[in-house]
Amino acid sequence: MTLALEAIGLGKRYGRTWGLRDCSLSIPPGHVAALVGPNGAGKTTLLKLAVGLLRPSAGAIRTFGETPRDDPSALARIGFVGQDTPLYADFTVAELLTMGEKLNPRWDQAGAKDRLGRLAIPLDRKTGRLSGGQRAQVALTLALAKQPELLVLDEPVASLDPLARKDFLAALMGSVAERGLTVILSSHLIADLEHRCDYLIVLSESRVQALGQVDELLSRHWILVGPRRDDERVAGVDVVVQVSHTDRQTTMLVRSDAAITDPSWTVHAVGLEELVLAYLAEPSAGMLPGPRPTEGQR
Amino acid sequence: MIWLAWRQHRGQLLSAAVAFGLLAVFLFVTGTSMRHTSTASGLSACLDQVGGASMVNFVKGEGCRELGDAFAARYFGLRLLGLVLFTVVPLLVGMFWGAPLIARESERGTDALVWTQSVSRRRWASTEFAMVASMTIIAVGSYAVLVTWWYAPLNAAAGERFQWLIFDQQGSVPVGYALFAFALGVLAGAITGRTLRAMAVTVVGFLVVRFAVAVWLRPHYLAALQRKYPVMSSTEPNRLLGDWLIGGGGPGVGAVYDALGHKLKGGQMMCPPPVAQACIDQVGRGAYNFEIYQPAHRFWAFQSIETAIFVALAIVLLFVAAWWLEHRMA
Repeated sequence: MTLALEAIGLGKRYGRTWGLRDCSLSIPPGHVAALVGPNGAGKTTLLKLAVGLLRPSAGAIRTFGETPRDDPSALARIGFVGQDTPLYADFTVAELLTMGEKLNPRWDQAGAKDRLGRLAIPLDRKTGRLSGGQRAQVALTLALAKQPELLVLDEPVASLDPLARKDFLAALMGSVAERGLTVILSSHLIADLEHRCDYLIVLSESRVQALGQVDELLSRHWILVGPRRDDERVAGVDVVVQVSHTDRQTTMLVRSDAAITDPSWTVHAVGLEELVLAYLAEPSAGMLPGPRPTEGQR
Repeated sequence: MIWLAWRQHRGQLLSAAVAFGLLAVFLFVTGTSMRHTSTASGLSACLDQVGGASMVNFVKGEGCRELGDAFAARYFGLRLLGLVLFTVVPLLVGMFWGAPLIARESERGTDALVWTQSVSRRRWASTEFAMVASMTIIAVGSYAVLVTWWYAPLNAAAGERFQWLIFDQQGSVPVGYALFAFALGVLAGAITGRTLRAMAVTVVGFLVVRFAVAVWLRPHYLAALQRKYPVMSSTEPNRLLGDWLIGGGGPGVGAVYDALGHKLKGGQMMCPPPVAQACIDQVGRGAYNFEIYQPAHRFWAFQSIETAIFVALAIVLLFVAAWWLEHRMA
């Protein structure tokens, strides 16, 4: 099976600083992947590398086994919505559709017009006079009309109010479900991504910190609550991701493949947001899954 | 891709057309008026009589110099205005059509839109460049035709068509300059990614290259000719023919030599008969004027050479810009 997105030792340097380094990841087709991380972690850099807007300084990145930067036919399989959903402000919506039709081989003009019609976005309005939510919808429509196999969205909802954000994500998920395409969506608003994504990439300090299927990640992490103790070793736990103490109580977020049997701990399931925040707070907690730890490491 | 390039730049062509229309009215009115004056003052008739003679008897007034000088003086203001206006036009193309071409896409973030469509950057660049370069040729070409027509009476009256700054305003060179300015703007925009910075680079680069070519290269496009003619004579070279006096005694001036070939001074000296004793005392019998010049009939050869130089520079710059866009740019 060809991977929708694959990065091997990928790095991008801006002058002397690395915007992204040693990034290796793979996303099989059919997933909706969330790319999360704090501002400046390299999310935009990774996505721009994926769609060929940037050239890697090290390593390689491929979409469906091709490199879009040098290959228009690879670009034809990708839909991209950039940060702040840039559009030509002096073009009408209809003119943008014409542009898409002229520049793309598999353009779905009827579908795009239909979609905008349902959203009540006037085709003869200049895009500079649309609201932020409408602009984002137009940008998404343009990306979808390419009939892509991979849809890449860089913070598409960051500038939208909560209602427009909800509408946008609902429209996005509707289209995704209809077509079964692969999506990579970056956001620093983790709540937006919960229940919508089944794949997670956590970027922190220019590196990939956690990567995997959301349900699998959630099923391997636990929150332990118990009486205060300073010894952080717990029987059956692979990695302690995060620890916090109060006077009488210790709370830990741990990674473990087996159930925790120690009766002194109360065990809770973990939510996506808690999981992500724990990893972001502890950059040293390291990479997720890869090969499972061997007995000796336990 | 052609559709997009046209849609993006048709507004610029429209503004250029409006500006051209206004300029055309102004040039037509003043150009027609200059032609009337030239006829009414007798300058045209005088010039017709002399025709293409290379030497003229200035004592008999054959050179039409008084008429010509009076005419040029009368239109001094217009000539000055023309110099300023017409030097600036190619630069405007570079600043407003060239510099933003790539830089504005990065500035507004629309690079992320247009370069993720299914079109290679090479195709994007070649179509955009070709579109705006064609617009430049059409706009500046028609402008140059009009200005060349406008300049004709002034050229005739002052014989200065070949001179620095005047040569640069007419014929085919404005098109070459404009294409060069455009290409410079595009490349500066690609490298800096900022329209304003690219504009500044375009202005400086354009003026430096234009100056260097005009001053150091242009006099040597073809081997210059030399001529000698006696000081004590009533005939001198026909200035209104429009030869370009390059030197002999310094930049743009000839020199006076004595009979033995010693250089006496820079400039020109004429002592028409009856020759005054003071003149003989000063330079001696047999003294002659010496000039290095480019003959007027080479005007179009020089225009073609200079145009070719700037077009070639423009092509190189555009190739570099396309390469930069494909390999170096974000």
